[in-house]
Formats: sequence, structure tokens, C-alpha cells
Amino acid sequence: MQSFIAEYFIAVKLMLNNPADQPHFRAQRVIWTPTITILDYRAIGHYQSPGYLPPTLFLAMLRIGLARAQIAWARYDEAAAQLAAVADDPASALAPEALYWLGIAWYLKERRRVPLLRAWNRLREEHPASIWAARVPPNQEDEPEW
Amino acid sequence: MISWQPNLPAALDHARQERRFVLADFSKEH
Repeated sequence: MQSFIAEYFIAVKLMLNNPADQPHFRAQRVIWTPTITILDYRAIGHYQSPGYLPPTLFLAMLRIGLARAQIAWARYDEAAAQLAAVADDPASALAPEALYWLGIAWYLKERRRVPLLRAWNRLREEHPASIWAARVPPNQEDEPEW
Repeated sequence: MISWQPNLPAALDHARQERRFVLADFSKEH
């Protein structure tokens, strides 16, 4: 976990008790502590995770948050690698979310529906009861032409 | 080893230079 953070992120702690940090809570729309946010260098927030998570889920959350920021910066291959690492653990509670965004990362890279539906069909098959499967439009054909 | 930045502007500047993203841990002292 620490090595993952050190490799991929610049880390900073912002304390509600510190008057100098308080404006950042408002600017980032953080209303509860603890909250982890993933920002780009322009201070645009791309992902928020409120509360505590056990270590395995915390690492999976960081991968999804990192991928969300990478997608926004058109770093689709890097994002897909992070999302696949989470999606390939079907027992992870965050695997459905990872599959949802994995489809989107592939779509935005290739502008084709085939890879999008590959991830989303897998999402519906492996995690049919998840909220992320419910976000996928119904009646997606199995073999789209593009 | 995580190198915690002293404040958000320093973290943002570091992120820009290294083409990385910022992990901001919003917390409070108990």
C-alpha cells in the first residue's frame, strides 16, 4: 500500500483543525473526515472516497481513483491497467465499479463499442446484483459491429 | 516510503513536475 502510494501519488494530509487547510475542504466539497480525494495538479478533484476502508479495499479504491484521474487526462492504457487489477479479483467489493470504468476507458481509447460491451457484459455476468451493473443500459447486443 | 508534502500548493506543484496525481487525505486531529 505505502509503496503503491509512493509510486503513483504525491501525498498530502489536510487537517480540519489547521486554519490554513480549511479552505481546501470547502473547495473540494469535503464534508466529512476522513475523506480521500484524488486531484490533478490543477486541483481538479476526480475521485472522492469517504470514511475508512480495510487495506485491501483501500488499495483497490486508490487504483480506481487513480484510473479516474488518468481517464480524464486521456491516459487510457494506464487507467485500464489499474482497473483490470481490481476487476480481476471478483471477490473484491470494488470489482463491479472497476469493470464499469474499465469499459469506459477502453471505449474512450478506441471509440468502439465492442471493448465497452466486453467489460459491461462481464460486469452484468459476474456482478448482476451490483449497483454498477444497474448503471449499464439494458438490451446491449452481444456482438456489436463497432 | 511516502513523502508527505507540507501543504496542498506544494503537492500540486510536485504533481505537475512529476506528471503524477495528488492523493489528499482530508482528516482531523482527535
